Amino acid sequence: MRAHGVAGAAGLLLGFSLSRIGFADYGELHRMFVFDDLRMFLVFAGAVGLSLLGFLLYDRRLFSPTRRVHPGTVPGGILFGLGWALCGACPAVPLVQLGHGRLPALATLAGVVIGTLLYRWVHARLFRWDSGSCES
Amino acid sequence: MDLLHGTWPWWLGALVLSTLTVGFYILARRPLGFSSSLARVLDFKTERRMAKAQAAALRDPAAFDRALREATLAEFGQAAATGCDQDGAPPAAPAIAPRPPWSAQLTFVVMIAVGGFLGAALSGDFALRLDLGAEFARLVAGGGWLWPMLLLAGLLVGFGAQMAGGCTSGHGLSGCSRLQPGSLLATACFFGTAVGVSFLLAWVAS
Repeated sequence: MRAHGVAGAAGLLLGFSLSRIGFADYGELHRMFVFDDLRMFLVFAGAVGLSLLGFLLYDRRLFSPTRRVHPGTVPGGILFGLGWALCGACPAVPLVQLGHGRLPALATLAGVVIGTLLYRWVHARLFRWDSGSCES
Repeated sequence: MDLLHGTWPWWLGALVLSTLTVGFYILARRPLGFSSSLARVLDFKTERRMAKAQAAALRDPAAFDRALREATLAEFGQAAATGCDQDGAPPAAPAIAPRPPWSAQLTFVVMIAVGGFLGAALSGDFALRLDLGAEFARLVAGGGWLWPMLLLAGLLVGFGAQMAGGCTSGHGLSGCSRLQPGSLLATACFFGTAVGVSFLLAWVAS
């Protein structure tokens, strides 16, 4: 029950803040990527900086490297970046867009789900590395 | 300042996202990351099967230990098995908590949409619409091309994030803020590519 509470509160805060920051708006995102408006870059950089400070104060051992570079890091990042610029959604954002009532986000969400399942299938057959997960 | 209308100033967004990143770690004892959560939700059948197998194994721990040792010997030879019996140096990184059940990940995923709805509804931005705004139509695809384009781009996002082992939350926030090498490289790759492709889109559309 506690796991549900923490996960639910985190999801609620993440969805609400992504919505209010503007990450669900294609125009806002595009203006960040072409450096027309640096606000959201500052949000991201500021969030990383403040989190770094928080983790430093909390437990320095969290900085020991657990998420290493593997053969999928660069090609995966490039494919994700290409898709991100085209649909304006990093994986969690189609859900926020749906919350805004933007129905085309259903197509984006379907794509993310198919891509996730497809990668699992491809990885199991072709690749020999550990992609890690964003849980480590 | 109005917290509900318009977009937040950068420092407020940074403050809320960092509170979420660090706060989630402290409460859940694991890093926040969306793409792993989604993968877990989609893979719930495997998890159910594993839970059953684990329950069966725990009914007879001695037999489970023997089977584990035999499988290790068969796979890696005697050297690996003798190594296992010695207590190695404690790991440098603190152990992360056992995984919460996949249903908790589903709660996380669903609540993101609820949070987005609250954000839109409280600010008066909510509206059922069949488009993604004027900029999307001008830069990427308008009319009926919108749907296949989003499906394809979403597929790249899902595939790429799994291949890189994380997305904007897992690599970008949780990983970069702990200076994880894989996260810093992945984040540079997806931000860099998105910047390049966006300039290309703007150039083609102009």
